[in-house]
Amino acid sequence: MKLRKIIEFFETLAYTEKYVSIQSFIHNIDPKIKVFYTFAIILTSLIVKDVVFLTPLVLLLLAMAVLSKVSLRFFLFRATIFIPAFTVMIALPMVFLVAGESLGTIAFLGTTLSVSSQGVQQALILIMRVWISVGAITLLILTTRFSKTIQAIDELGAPRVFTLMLGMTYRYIFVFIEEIFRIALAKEARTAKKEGWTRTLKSFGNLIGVLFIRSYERGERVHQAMLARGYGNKTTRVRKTQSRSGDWFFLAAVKAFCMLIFVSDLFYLGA
Amino acid sequence: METAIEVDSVKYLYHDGTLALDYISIEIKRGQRVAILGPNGAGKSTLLLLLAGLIEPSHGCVKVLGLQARGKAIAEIRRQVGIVFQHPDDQLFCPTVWEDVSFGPLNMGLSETEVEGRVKEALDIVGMTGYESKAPHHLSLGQKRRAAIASVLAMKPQILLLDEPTANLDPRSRIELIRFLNKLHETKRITMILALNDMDLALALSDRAYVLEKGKIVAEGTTREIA
Repeated sequence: MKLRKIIEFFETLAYTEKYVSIQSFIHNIDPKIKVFYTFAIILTSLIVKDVVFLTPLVLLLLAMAVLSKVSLRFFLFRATIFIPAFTVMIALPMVFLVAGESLGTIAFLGTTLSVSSQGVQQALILIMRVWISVGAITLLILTTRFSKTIQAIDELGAPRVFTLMLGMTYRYIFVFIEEIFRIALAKEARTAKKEGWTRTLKSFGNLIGVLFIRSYERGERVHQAMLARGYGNKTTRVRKTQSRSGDWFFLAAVKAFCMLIFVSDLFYLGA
Repeated sequence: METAIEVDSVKYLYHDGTLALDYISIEIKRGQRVAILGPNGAGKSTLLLLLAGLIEPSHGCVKVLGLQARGKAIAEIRRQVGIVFQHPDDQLFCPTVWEDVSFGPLNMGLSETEVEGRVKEALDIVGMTGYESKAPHHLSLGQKRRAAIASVLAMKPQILLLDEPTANLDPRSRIELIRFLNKLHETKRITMILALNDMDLALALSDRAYVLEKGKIVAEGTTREIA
């Protein structure tokens, strides 16, 4: 059944908890430190303006993935899957639209498009930045339980409403996937013959509509459950994660690496 | 015996015009176990929401532990009244059991140590010690129901409201939950109000009963008399 296969595919992408229970150096790092270095890597990738200096960040993530003992194949799949779907669509026009030294021409729908070297460079930078950001977040997700990541963000002082919403989003992914499965099963039970893509898409549209109404109603009930337990009052923050000296040392090493890349990029551009 | 809940001539009208409660009056004493019986749509859940201070009546007055359920008293009522919803997935909204159970105590502004202690005690009462870091979606329905009860017990309420507590449970989980609720009442002498549609369950869990039908109380008395 097409609909169930689509749901299963997104389910695999949305959450894979089998890697978070692995014992490795990266897994054992305090989640707060992991949030810090993930942020540092993403920030560096956004500041650096040359492909040459973005490459070490890619290598750093690959090295950390190896160190974390998660499947490198799965890590690369998760970090790359959305690139063709979203980033390439934005990056591709850059190749033709950014002015610069021409590398060649392509005939397209009766017109001639010129490929510029600056355009290729900018498209590559965009793709690499997206890959590094998604890769860093993927590594964080694969090596830390989501609840611990939220706890770490909370302990770092993020507003309670933000961490609560993050936690609830994660919590209800599972509830909604179960709900989608139940609806899909009920539909399958009443499908006598093989249906075409148009019909599947129509069913998918109906499913989204039903889900929207159900989530709205659930939202009301959850809000009541929150109010019943005193939501809206002043809350206490509980500290549950602890950093060891090794964690801080690792953070310092990653930050120094990022700083080195940033400074090198700065001097290279200035030269 | 001291009055825990007083519902005086209460009417509740939903926005779409549905009359959920039609001028009902109820009095519940402290430590009593009361069943609100009735078919689906009789107004049982609406009555529980009113008692928990989550909605306000269109007419009449609700008093909980001497406090009128309106304005500033609502916060105190929510502190003293714990409500366990029919669907545990509506109640367990945090990523782990620990966070869910600690949600109430954290909102009460208790100290870190006190919160830790309350979570430990509540999970111990419902027999869920060791499940702290479990995600709710990894629990069975019976375990979810217990975790939902723990999330309320951690606030140490004086009144416990339970909406269809055994709905969709298998026979074994149902018996376990009945035993657990009876034990909870014996040890804590907590006032319990249960919305039910099963007479056998009402006999096992309550001393008094009110029968609701189309928003009106059609019968009241001891559960044995009603049965």
